[in-house]
Amino acid sequence: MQRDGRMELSDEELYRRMRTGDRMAFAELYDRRGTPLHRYVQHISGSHSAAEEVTHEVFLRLIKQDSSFDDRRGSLEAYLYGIARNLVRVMRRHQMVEASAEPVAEDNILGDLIRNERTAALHAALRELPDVYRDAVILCDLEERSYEDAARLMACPVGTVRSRLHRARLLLAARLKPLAMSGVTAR
Amino acid sequence: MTCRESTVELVECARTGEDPDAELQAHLMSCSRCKERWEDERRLTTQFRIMRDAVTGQPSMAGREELMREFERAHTGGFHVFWRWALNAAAILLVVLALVYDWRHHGSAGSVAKPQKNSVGLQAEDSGDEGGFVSVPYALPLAPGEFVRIVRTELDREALAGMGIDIETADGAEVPADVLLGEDDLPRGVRVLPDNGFSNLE
Repeated sequence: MQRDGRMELSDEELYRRMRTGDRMAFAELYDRRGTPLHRYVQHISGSHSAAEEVTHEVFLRLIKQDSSFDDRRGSLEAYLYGIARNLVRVMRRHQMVEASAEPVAEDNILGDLIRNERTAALHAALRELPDVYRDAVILCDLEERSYEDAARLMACPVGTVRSRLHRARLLLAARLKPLAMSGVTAR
Repeated sequence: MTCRESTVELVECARTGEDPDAELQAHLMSCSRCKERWEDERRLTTQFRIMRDAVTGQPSMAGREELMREFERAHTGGFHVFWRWALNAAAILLVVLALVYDWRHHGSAGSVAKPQKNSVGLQAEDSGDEGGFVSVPYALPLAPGEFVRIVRTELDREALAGMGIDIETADGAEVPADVLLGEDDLPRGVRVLPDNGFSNLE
């Protein structure tokens, strides 16, 4: 009953409660946002272990007393995604994501998909996209978020999300064209 | 329909899996470039669906448990921090209160018995200043910070004259005077008051 009550609370209210030491509020927040965030990080990093690490780190930062979240500046979800994006960027800069993605067969999220050359190529192309385009694709096409949701998480207008998505798809299609021409097909 | 208009529409159709409307279909039939884009977009959507289905991972339970432990630790730690701050604040408050108490008592003693500050130098010849007290000859000087008391009484004129106080002894009557007593209750100074001194108590 109490859990049902918590489920009706906004992320921001749960955050306020967890700041006062409400363990259940934190658990609810984690259960609500942990998995989507994990998926999102898997998509942008291409690595399950990176997703695990980054998701953990994001919530760890939320726990810390000096957490800089301010609900007047945006939603908690956007804040979490923002931290995750930055952490992945840092990992990339230190080659940590690529390093973990190399032993593909077991650790990579695409471990069971890597035999599909086109999917692997698409994933590689996705990782090479500029951040804003990649975010649009991941949120709208892979996470199936609405344009409005994506706009909130990306902190930009809906029209911008749409145009970034269209542009990103065009770039990806161009990258995948040689594969399509060579006749490689999905398994 | 222009290619630009058709592109926007065909991307949305490819994404949602809807069939193009008649106008778009007609355009696709007549424009090979848009037709090609339409095929690319459909392929892309298929690939995205495969990728989406492949990513089924979720955070591990071990990670969740670790975070919950971290949460407990952070908030227990916070509790300790709170108490540490509270104890520090209480200690500071106590020190401040002690200082205020000390100041009020020292301050009041000092204000009543100004000679205390200069008791060491309070000589008979200085009597004009420092509240008019004349030091008692051969009495030990007051220690710095020593508490003093002032007792109002009547003293024998002869005795006062014997201390070197310039006073008329002819009538032999006693005169009102303030006696400055140290912490050992021994007199250190005397201040002769006007005859009506008792009526002018401060």
